[in-house]
Amino acid sequence: MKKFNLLLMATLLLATSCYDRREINHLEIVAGIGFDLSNDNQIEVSFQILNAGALGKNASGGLEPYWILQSKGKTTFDAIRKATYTSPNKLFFSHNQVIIISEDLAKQGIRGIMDLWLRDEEPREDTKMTICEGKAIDILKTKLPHGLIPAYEIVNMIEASIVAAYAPIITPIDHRRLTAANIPCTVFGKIVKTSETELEYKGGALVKDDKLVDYLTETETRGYLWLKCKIKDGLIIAKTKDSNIVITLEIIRAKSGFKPVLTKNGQLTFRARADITGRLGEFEDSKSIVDPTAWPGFIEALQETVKEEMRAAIAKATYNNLDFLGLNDSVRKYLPKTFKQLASSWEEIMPLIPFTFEINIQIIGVGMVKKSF
Amino acid sequence: MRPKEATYFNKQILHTSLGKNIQAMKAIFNNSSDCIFREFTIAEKLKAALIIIDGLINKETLHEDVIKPLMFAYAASEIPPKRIMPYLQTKLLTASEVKEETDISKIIEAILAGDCALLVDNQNTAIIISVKGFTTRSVAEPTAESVIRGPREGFTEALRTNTSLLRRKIKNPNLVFETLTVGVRTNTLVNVVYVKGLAKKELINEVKRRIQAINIDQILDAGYIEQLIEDNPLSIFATIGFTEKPDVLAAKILEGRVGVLVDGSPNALTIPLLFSEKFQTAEDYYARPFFMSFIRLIRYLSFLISITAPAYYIVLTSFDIELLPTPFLISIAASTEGTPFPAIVEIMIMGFFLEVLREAGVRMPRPIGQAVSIVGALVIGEAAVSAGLVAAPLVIVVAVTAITSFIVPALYEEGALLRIFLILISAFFGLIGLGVGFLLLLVHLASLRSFGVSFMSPIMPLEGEEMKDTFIRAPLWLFFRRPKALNNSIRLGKGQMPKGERDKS
Amino acid sequence: MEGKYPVSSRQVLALIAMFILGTSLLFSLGQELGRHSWLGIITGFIAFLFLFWLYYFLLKLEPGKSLFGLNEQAFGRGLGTVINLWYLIYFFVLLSVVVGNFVDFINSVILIQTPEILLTIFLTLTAAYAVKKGLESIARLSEIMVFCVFTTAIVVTLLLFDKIDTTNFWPLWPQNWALVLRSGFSILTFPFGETVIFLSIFYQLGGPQKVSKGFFWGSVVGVFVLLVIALRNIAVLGEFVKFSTYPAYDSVRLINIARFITRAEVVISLNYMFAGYVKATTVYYSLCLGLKEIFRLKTYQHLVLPIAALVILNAHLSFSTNVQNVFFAFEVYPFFAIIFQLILILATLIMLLIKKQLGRRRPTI
Repeated sequence: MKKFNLLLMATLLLATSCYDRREINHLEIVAGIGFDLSNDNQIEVSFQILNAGALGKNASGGLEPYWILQSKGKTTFDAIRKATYTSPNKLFFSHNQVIIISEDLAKQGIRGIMDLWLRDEEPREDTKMTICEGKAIDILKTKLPHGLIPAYEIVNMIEASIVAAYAPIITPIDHRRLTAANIPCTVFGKIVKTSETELEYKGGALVKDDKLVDYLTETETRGYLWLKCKIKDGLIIAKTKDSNIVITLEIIRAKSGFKPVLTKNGQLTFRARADITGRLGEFEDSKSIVDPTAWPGFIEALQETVKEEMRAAIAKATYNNLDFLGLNDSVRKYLPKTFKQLASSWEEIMPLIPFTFEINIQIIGVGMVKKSF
Repeated sequence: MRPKEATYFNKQILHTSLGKNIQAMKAIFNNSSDCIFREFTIAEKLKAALIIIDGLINKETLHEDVIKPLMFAYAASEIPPKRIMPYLQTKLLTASEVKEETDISKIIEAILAGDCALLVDNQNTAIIISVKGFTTRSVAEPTAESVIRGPREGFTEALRTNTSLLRRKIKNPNLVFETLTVGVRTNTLVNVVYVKGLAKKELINEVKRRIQAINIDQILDAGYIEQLIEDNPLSIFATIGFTEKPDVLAAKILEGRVGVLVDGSPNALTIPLLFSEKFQTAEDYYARPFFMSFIRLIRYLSFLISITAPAYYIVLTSFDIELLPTPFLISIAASTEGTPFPAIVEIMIMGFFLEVLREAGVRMPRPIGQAVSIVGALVIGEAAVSAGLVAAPLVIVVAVTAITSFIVPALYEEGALLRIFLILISAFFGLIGLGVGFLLLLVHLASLRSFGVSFMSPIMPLEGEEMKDTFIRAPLWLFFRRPKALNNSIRLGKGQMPKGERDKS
Repeated sequence: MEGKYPVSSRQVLALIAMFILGTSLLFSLGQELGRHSWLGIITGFIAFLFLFWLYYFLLKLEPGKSLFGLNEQAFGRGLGTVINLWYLIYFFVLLSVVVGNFVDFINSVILIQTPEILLTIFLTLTAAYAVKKGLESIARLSEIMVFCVFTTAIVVTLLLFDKIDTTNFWPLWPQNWALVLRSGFSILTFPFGETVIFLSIFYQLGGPQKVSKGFFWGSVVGVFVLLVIALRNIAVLGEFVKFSTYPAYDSVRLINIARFITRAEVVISLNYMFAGYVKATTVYYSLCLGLKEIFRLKTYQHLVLPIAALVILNAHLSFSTNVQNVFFAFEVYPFFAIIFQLILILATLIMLLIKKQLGRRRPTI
């Protein structure tokens, strides 16, 4: 036993260099990363790095709570490593929460970034990813009027977008999950700098084969979100046909999606469906009666809006084989035999497959007043 | 090898001549000043001597019950020498406990224990008369195990007082005290206490065997016995319990344990000891079960925190930084900014000072002890942080460690050592080291035994039935059986749950 | 320490369950099947039931004898010893693989810069410590650990509830059943068939009835946890399960409850380590026990450290990348292991039965 203990001690002594030890104050904690394409076609990375000294309670004033570092290299990893040329310490990526990729780079391809993010153990695969118009560094440099660290504020903004339901939320693992299932196109969210102190997260960017190919309009994005059952909150705005009354419905619960079915005569169709429970949010009509939901064409108008949004997304998805809805995947999942038959000619057949819609809207309340004046 | 001892009176018996006997005795006691030889005559005829140790006897009893009756017993002169000894015992001596003895070593033992020996001329026997009486500390409230509810009395240094305290709790002839003498020089009395029929025979015999096998010259406290009979002398875990409270000892021996009382020690040993006992206090059973169950859980949690907190702090700040949620990381990063030492060094220094402060507080007289802790808190806590020498979160961690470690006093020593072990191992291998360290600890604990019982019982091996007195304290009316590891007999009647007035319609 | 083994049926259960979970928690079993890996696990388990029956039969045939004793009885001292040595080699390889896998895992996700050899030494010595303390301690430890692993598997699955997408399971039935069978075969040999090492321990633990009850339910608990984890991985990662090196680790990384309960993966990996520790110590223990029995030694205590040295060397030299590990686990190992898990056992059984028949007939002649 004594010998054994000695041996154990010896091992521990061997380890005295503590190979994996790193001190917090010898690390530069990266909060957000932006990727750009440099003029000489290299990858240019910009980091938003926490300035720990300026974050404490007794921090001396005047210091910014973050600073921006930039570097470039041949590959993503190369660019990131070269940042240490100028950084005082090693960069630390576990707390990086957002990846912003510029349009130019996205058009060239983001495969390297994706691979690094999933292969390396330090960056997290559930980091929010977005594509921006213009330069990513500009987004990171935006001085948002609220919050200490803009990158984290951007993340908050992205997460809050679920309330308005006008943009998808995508992370590297989401993207790879879709590509692994052979869905050709992923919809990324899009971030735009609207002014020096303002950013906007709205709309979608289509990435096919890890390359940016197209953008989605707001309606198309919305249709995409409906069909992928990603809308849990938000508004539906509709106008009744004959009386032109604007209705705003606040979604409380929603379940939506689509499924391929074979009709009796063997025809493949997609059945899109949405079950929406909502509350009347706004109703502009002075003559309104006590129960606005009884207004002629009220429900129909709302249904039409949802349908229109779905149709827009479907049109975009089937055109040019940008199947970001995963139509092929759904057929493969639910009708594997049919898919096997169609696999070879899928691209030609896809735009021809008909869609049927079934939108159920249930209104559970009219709010605190019964009548608008 | 036996320790050397003056063995010249071994197996010797008394001479018939009083003069020679007294000479021999004086030689044995080396003319020690507290040994008194009182020579007198019985009924003005018969030469006799009393041998006592001053301070161990009650002088009044000696006067009234021994010397007075003997000196004025004129009738004794008519008794023939052969019958004089029985006559003295039955007719003259009014003391309550007397016996005859011929073996010199036995007589010496009795004298040293506070009896007086009566030697009579021309007789080769002595009468041992019990006149014990010495000043002892009175029964007081134990300081180490204070309670809000429950008995306040504690054991004292006098063995007889202690046995009486216990006997008063358990008025049953089956409560047995078996006396053994240990310590070649100190001749300390050791009592093995148990309830016959509850403690397993093998356990009693094993305890006695181990105590009898002790061969040491001195036993100054129960701790000596503990260290000489324990199962795992090389483990940092104590596998023999101790208590200062008679009610606790009573509860333990009523569960089938064996107690060891040592003369001169206010601590009674309880054997065997289970790990879970270290988290129990007497009060758990006297107060109502709900809050006490909660407190039990807190104790376990506190112990866990007190041994792992500093190690986990190292893991979080020096190895697996990605484990921290981001807002948490930001505040830690902000407060560690600018501190000169790595976390491991900081925690070692602070841990060292924590132990120093504690030791200073314990050893110093109470008023100075308080001053020490104030200085410690001010200087080391406040000043070190504001001077930027250590990070504020680290001071919090050390403080939490200190406070939680006081919650389970029975595991304080083990906890302090384990903490250092876990700090070192996680300083080398991060969370993996901490995990493996914990595994090693569990394997070690699982392998420990205390007098034939698994130390970790009922957790390892798992006894589902006994969880009700392990992590929680279930209502008393649910404790049907005694612990399985000791004696699984029934101790509670059926249907003891109080029913109130429900059926009174 | 040796000789006295008050091990309860529940502890046998825990040992078996932890053994099965051991290294298999790290990898995704039946990864080549992607979303149908659960089918592979079920197939492997059903096949294992046959093996279990075989083992049970062997235990009942000669209670109180270890696998090594049985081999000697069946094939005679000479051939029996040769076969026993083969078994020891198998145990040795198994032990090295277990240690190697864990070192590899730790080295690629947690302690990247720490040299591999250091981790190997560290882990092997900690296993050696438990082996020195005896089976009793290992069994008691596993009883606690199985609770930890079980609850963690369930809790983590619940924490990942919002990430679960049940459509990932569709289509429910695979196109390529041959691959399911092939994968089932490799799952039979790893981890289920590896329980063959318990045949060399069980004889100390009590009668075949008590032991096999624990054996059976232990494997049921094991397969249940494996299925929960496999199904969770598929539901969370979808088709990506196929391409992840450590899918369970990857899916746990996605836990995010209110941005506070996040980053649980390192804690989970500790859990895996506990399971792997029990597995490694059990194999290690039976290796020591086998050596002791073959060479008729009184105690195995002084064998522990030399074996540790050999394991450290072998584990360090045998594997270099985790891809190699996976290749070994799928392409090589099953065919190597099945010899020990099925073929030799079958041979022993047949020989024993023949000998019994002959023995019974002889007196009548």
